[in-house]
Amino acid sequence: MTRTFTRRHLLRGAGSIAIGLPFLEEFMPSARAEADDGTPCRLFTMSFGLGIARAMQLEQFEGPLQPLAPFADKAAMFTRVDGGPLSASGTPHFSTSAATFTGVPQQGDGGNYQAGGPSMEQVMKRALHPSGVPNVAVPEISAGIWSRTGAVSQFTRHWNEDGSPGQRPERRPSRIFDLLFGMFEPPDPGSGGEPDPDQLVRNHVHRSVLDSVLDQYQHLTSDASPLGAASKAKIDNHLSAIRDVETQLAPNDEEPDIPLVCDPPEAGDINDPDGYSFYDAANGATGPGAPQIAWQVAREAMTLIGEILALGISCDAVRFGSLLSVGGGGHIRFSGVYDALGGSLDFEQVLGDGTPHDRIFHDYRPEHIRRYQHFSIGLVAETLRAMDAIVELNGRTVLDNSLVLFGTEYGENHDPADTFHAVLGGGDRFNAGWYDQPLIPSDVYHQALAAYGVDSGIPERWPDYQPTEITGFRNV
Amino acid sequence: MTADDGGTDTATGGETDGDDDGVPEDVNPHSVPPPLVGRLTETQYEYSVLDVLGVELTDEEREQLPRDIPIEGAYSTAVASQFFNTQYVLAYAFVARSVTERLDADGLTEIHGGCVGMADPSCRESFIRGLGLRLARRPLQDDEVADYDELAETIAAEPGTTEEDVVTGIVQAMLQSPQFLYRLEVETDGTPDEIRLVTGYELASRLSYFLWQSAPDLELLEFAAQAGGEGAVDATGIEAQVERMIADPRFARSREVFWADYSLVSIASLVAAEPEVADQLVSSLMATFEHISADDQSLAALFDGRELMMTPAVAELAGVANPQPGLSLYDSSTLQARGGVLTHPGFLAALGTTSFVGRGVFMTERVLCQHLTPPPDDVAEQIMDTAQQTESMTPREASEFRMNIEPQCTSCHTLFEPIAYGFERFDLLGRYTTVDAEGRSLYSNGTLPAFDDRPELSFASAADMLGQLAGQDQIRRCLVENMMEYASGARASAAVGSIEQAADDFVAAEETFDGLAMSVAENRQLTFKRSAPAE
Repeated sequence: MTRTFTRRHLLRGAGSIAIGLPFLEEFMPSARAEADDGTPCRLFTMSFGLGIARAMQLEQFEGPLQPLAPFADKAAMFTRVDGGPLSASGTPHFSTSAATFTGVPQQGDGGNYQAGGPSMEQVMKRALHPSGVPNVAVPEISAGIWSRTGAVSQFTRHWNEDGSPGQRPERRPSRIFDLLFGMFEPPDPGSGGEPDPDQLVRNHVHRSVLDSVLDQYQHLTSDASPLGAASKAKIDNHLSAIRDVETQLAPNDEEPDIPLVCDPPEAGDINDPDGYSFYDAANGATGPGAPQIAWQVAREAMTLIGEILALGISCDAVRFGSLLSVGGGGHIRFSGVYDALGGSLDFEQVLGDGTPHDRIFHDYRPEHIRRYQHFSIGLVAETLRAMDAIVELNGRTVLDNSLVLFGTEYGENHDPADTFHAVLGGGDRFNAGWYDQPLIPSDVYHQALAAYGVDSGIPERWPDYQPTEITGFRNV
Repeated sequence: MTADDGGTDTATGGETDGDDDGVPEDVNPHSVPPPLVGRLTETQYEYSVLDVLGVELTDEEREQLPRDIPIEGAYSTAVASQFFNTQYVLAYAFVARSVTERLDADGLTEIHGGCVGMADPSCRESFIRGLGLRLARRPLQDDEVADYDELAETIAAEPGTTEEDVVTGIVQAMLQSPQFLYRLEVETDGTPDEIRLVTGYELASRLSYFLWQSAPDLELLEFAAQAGGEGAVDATGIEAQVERMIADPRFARSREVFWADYSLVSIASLVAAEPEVADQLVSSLMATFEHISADDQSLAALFDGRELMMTPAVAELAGVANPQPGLSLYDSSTLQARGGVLTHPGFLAALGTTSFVGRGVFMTERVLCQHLTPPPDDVAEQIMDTAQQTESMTPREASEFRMNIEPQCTSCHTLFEPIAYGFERFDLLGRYTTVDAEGRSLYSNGTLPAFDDRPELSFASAADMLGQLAGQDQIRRCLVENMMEYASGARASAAVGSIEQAADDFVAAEETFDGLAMSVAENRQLTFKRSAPAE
């Protein structure tokens, strides 16, 4: 299913964009759900917690960013991205996370931080698929390793249109596998490919039920609704989600099943790593006194998550999502000795009965920060590696064919100035390299999406936004 | 206030305070939040299905059901931070289809429609209206009935379908409808931001999800119809309904959810304990809450009570030398340093921290209802600096150091750290110990600064401090405030006027849990809503 948009369509209702961003006008391609060769357009956000100082960013691949070195020729790296303008006052732990990947200032305070708008993968999903995502297994997915301590912004990177939280990242590889491939069953060899008549009847009933329900949600979001704007937005999230999964809820005769462009793996082959099981708990394990988890176990889990995600992407089971590495304030108590950058981080010795957040960041021990973040960024790099290992029909890797927005919360120890950001993949739309230009996160997001002909919506949601063109970023 | 100095307003249905807003004087308009629709919690969904359809969810269905994580410290009924995504839609569809597979279609039709046979249009309509009333918590409008009837005809016309398919299709649609999944109230009546009475049906729904965690029953819906129906409620006689609901076994659900949220048990990971001990910490604490609540004890027992329910493993943590088998009642006065429920190992373990800051902030907010202002913007740098400066200090020395950092830290830290002093000798699992892991002495004495009409309290231990707090008005008001927050799903800290009234009612009801719930359920604050702001 390919939908082509005209530029007039894209810019409708966003008049300030044309005035504020004249440089984008000439670059704006038409937005399409698939490239000319049929490769789907995808966007994944990836982030690590707490951040690194600009000095460490400028070490390039000699510092904590070393795990990104294998992707140097397909990554634009930004080392002076100031998140301050997007941060509200209050507890800094919660204050920048809700702006990461939305590009607009957060809302709320007192530990109740919410985003000021949708995260970028949601923006692109809606722009490319305005009446629902294509017929894929999962419209979006959130995954990663995190521990919950307080506000949802500490572990949520998926934000709905109204800034409310979307998905909690799924921590269990086995569950991610089920989400992506669990609904596929091998065809019954005895059926001869003919659809089951009972199933067809059920599908028709489901379609009728869905039509009935959709009408009710539409009414509540219409002008005749008895609801105010805030409640309408909440109901609209529900309505949009129904449309996203309409075919799954009620297959129709034209699209009776979810197609996959590969043979799905066998169910039951994926097991969570030993020692990772306590993350099955809804709330995870966090804080002083929590049990330790060997860093190798975390690496194993994130490697597995990365491989499953990459496979899911290549099978076209999912096109949009977010990945989080060690979110939730960095309160996971790792154990073991991690060797990197010419030294060692002995987690048990350094952490004592505390957590990385307390003993490494608050106590401000730069050498440990370097290795800890080398480890944390390395967890995300496992997914990049898996995406870069799968070659698609157009001869390019999954990573090449995807847009990855890479970011974090802070620069130097809880300071939202100079946060590291990167754009990876993008199918030749960007020039790889290092960019030490003063920017804010919104500049990166807005111009990355513009390369796909997608309006980020940031100028409309944040009228005070003063865009800065990133010199040399776009490959035109 | 009298009618002479106020007035009567049709929108608010009673005497007003003489201001132009027409709001009664015992209702604080600032505490009526802007409208925001709330989705049924996992518990509310489960009990609604059980009570209306008679179907108990399976473990698989519970696993599928969307589960929200409230902001730390908030009640699970809070609506402001509810998540939503496409997986939820799939989950609701899955559970609706799965539940309907276990329905007795004829039995359900007979219960809700008073007839059998979907081929009969009058029976079909009767069933749709009957079931719709229960699941939508108000009578369906004619066009809504027509839509469900159209759905029924469409399914019936599908070759190969049966009458049972028609019933299950209607039920599936209702279970996925916004009228069921969301607690909808009319938000656009009146002028923007106007404080207005809820409708009869809206009040019934508020009461039912507060007291039963479930949909209203027919008797409550009949009361709602007589008390205003779709119009502004006349809550005369509400007391009889509230008393009936509190006497009903379904009220136990609300006790369980409230205490689990109050104590953080509902979100506690308890990872410092072995899994079986963690389970027993929870079950012991919840049994203690249920013991004092269902037994009509005064909730002062939270502070100065002497009865703790504990399993052998938990009793060992509490210092019992020879625990009794099974879940047993212990006299806390025979245990070193123990007192009311707030010294139960389960309560202390659920907090998940031993720090003065962590324990102090929670107890100051939850137990004392002294609300703290957000920390300053540069708090991270302050924490970092302070951590370095206090690295070699004892916990008590470090606390005193923080409280003396002028001017940034003093005002708040002197407010919230002292209450944690009393608990210094309790470790992460609530064990009593006089030295820390490094062999340094721990203490339990301190002074709680005065607050409002409560004088300064000097104490020798947690039990001593809690015993002195037990008789304070502040504690009663705070329990009421917590219950109001739980009932409304919104922060209640500004509801001063209504809290005072409810606190008086709570005292009059001998400070029991039933009295606490009743004082909030019958409070006029629950009968008001705010119209949506201008767009």
